[in-house]
Amino acid sequence: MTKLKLKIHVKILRKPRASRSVEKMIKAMNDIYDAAKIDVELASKEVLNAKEPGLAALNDLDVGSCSWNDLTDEQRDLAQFRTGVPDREIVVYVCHSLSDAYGGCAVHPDGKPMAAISARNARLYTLAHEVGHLLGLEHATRDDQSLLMNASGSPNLKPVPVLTQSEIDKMRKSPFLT
Amino acid sequence: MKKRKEIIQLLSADEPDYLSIISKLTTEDCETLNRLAKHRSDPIATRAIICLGYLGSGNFMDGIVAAAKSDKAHFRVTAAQALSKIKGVGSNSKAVELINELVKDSDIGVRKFALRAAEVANISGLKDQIKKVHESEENIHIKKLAETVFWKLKKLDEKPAH
Repeated sequence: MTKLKLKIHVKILRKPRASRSVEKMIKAMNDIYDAAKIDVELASKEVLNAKEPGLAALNDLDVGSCSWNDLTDEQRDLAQFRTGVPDREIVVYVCHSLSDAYGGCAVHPDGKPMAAISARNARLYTLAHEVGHLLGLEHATRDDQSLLMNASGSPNLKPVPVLTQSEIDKMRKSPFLT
Repeated sequence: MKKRKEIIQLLSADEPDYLSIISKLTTEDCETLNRLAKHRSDPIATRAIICLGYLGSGNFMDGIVAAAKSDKAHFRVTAAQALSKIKGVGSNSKAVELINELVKDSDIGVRKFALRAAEVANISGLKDQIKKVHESEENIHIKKLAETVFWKLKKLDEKPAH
């Protein structure tokens, strides 16, 4: 397999806990995505002015049911904040919280690939899980806690969660990889 | 009734499917959820609070009340959302009282979700407080939301009596 690159831009409305820092989550992603020969690069990290009125109202983001047919106005609004990010690169917004205590949600408007994660409720592998959705992966059909895309929880503990071969094959076809 | 460990497992998903979770719980599980609403893990605690909203009735609001009075904005935001999920919230006096408090909160996220809970509650009795929020709100987006909710509640007074 040839090595592919995935560039992630992180925009911070609320700084996550030190144990779940952006750098730690990117490292955790690389530990998992290495099996797919995907090198994850933190292309940029920007702290947004969360006191700006438009952003202040989005810091506790309404993600609805976090499904493609229920994209909220707030998700559309947040997706506009992608200054300096090329079209086919992914933005991850770290918000204070997401509605209904979600840890993360990867639903986004067309042409503005993004995920939002909660500074309070995201866990170490939440970023890897949400970006997995952006790369075309769905939740695993079997309830296996060792899988990154398990729907019933992103595992926190060792061993590092894994990708299946079919997931690796699928994500490597993503247009977001170079 | 489910065991605490089983409920924690249900609440462990990053993207919880509440309809599925609630289908596996009964009001007998509310005591456990009330305790989990104080769990040391924020994700577990806040998801337990949301579940209390879905299952909610006047007898099972301890976890929501505690969250609404928490000094952590994160918990008050969650309480506001849980209130909006209580069936017949407009006829639940404790819930209405909490909404009335949370719309005045110092945190913008709490005010936003409390205003939405007020909209769901859909009772005229909240309109005076919402009007005050609209008048004092500095954030243009929340001010607009307060205005929308106020007019919706005001219309309830204009409906002809039968």
